[in-house]
Amino acid sequence: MKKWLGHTNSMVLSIAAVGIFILLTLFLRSLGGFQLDLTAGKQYTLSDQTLTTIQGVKENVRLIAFTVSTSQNQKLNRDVTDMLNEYAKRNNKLKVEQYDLNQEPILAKQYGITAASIVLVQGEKKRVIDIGSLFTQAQGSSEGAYQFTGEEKLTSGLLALSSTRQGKVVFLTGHEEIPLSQMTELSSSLAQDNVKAEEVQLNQAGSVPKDASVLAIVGPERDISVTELKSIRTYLNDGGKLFMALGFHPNMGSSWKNLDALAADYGVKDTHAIVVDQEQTNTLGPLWTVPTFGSHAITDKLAPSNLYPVLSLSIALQAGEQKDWKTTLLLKSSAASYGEMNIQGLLNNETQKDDKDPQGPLDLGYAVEGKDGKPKAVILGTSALLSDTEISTGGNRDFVLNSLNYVQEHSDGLTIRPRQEQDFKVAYLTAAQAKTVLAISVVGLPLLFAVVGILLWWRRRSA
Amino acid sequence: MRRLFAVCQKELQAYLWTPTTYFALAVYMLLTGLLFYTNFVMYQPSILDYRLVLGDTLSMLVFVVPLLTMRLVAEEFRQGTDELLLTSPVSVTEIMIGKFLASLGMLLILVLCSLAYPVVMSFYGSLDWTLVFTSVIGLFMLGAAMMAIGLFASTLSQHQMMSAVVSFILLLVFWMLDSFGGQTGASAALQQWLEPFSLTARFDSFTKGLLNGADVMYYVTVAALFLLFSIQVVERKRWR
Repeated sequence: MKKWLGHTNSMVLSIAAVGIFILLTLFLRSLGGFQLDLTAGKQYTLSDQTLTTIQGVKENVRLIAFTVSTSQNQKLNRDVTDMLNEYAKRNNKLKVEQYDLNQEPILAKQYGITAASIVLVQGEKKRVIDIGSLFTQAQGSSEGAYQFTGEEKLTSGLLALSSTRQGKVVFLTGHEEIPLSQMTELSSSLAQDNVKAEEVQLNQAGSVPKDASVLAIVGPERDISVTELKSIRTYLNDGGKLFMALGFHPNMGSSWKNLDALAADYGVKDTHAIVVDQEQTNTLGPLWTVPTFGSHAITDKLAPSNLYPVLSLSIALQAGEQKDWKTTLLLKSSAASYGEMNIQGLLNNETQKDDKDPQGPLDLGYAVEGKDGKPKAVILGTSALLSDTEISTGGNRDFVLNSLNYVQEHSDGLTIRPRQEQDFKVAYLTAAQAKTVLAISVVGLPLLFAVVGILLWWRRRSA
Repeated sequence: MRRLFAVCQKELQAYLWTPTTYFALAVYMLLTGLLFYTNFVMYQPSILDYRLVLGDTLSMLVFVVPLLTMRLVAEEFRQGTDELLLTSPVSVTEIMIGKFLASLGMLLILVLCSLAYPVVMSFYGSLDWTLVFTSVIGLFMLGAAMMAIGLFASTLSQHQMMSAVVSFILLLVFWMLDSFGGQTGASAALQQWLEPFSLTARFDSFTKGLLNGADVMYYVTVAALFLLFSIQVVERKRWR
């Protein structure tokens, strides 16, 4: 009886221990982010926006990474898979799969993949993120440093999968605006948020498409016609939204009557003065400026992360009184800056402040909202920051996406700071150094233990 | 507690005076040294990242841990000294914890030996020592869980070789739990169930510079579970 009780006790205790072990393991795993990140740049600490997004995933999502393994991109592939695993740790609805693109061409074809990509699959819906677009060269940093925007893109992708909203930003063409073909990064960022980007030529289309959530006018060089202005006003009066980014043009003072009139509808005056900033500038020269922010929903999340835009050839704007619209300052240049009114002089490289030139700080952008507090327009005196060549500079992309999200009333636009990463540190070993490593690791250390073992064995044998 | 440390001390001395220990360490250092040399030197330029080296050398533990733990209890059974132990004032729990602590002492030596590789790497460029530090903690925790499994295997037989084989099989199963099953369908579901219990999947976060609470607790509970099993197996001898 005593023996039987002893065995039963032992069995019950062991089964209970196994049960506790299984439950504890699964429970602790479900907590996911219960961890101490000791890395230098807190590389594995996800932003609050990402954590909220991950916790909001209710259906199974497959995170499929198609990577291409070469000796050069080992570190980049690791950044991608590490990031995916960090997401999967925090919600068991997220499952990570990794394939080599070259070894799984048929599977890749199923998802229409031809280059290294992450595919997010939720039921029938899918999003594709190009892995190449996640990495950009870090500016002004040490050799081998790069920026990794994986968190922002993946979180946007997850949001887009679960989002039912659709948007369409229609870019005006026909006046030598910056074409969409030169704003591919912006288009792809918008696409991740289920926002389509397409061009419209009003002379052909006759009117702004009714399903457009925003009309964007980016860097026109020629003025719009009266008929076009009428079409645009009709669209805006019917509840449409405007995103206007004006860029430098030598004849802007004399020929932009209708564009200026459109801005003036919302109480914004184009001064046609080009900002010359000797203080808040970067190394490229005084025609570049790093503005400070006004307080607004678009900019409030950017300032704490020091995500300031870097602007070139900006036009100073002024906000006037307007009874129907409320304008809020978004960007301004430094007090040391001034607005160059002598454009011909500027073109001849003669930039000197005179009495006609307005003294800084100069306003460079406004958000406009109606009396009901709803966003109506964003009007900027700068446009090059949307182009592929400048969108990755400073906080340009964050500022532009925030502006477009604001004007579309998408309040959950992302401003996740890219991570600064360092590529593998490498060393070129000489033949002599290689021999030293071989002598220490393959010969020396094992031999040391073997000799001690033999001595002990010998001593025991002879004892 | 004093009796526990007496057992630990006795076992540690047994480890340090047994030639097998040093041969096991020599085999471990030879195999990991070869892997280190291949990874670090054979492909130029050498990458100064301990994580790349550690990943491969880790699997050597599956071979070395059974060698280090096989004699812990099996030898007592073979020599008949278990009768003495079971009738002594020292409890089975104290005996098993003492033996386990001694095996952790050996593990510490093994982990310190593994530090030779990052030290060698650091001669040729700067190394991220935070990652080395967390990796070493991870290596110790993983090793501790494996030692507990080895200790349990040692209680199952009086033949050391048999214990080593059982230990090897158990470790291999725990090692490969995340490899069973496939990517789709029912086998994917099976894999998802098994993956949290895999010894290797839990190690990754340590090498990244993370101390993940769930991973730390997993290794602690695996060690506690097999220690408990070991105690239960030895306790059964009392009831025979």
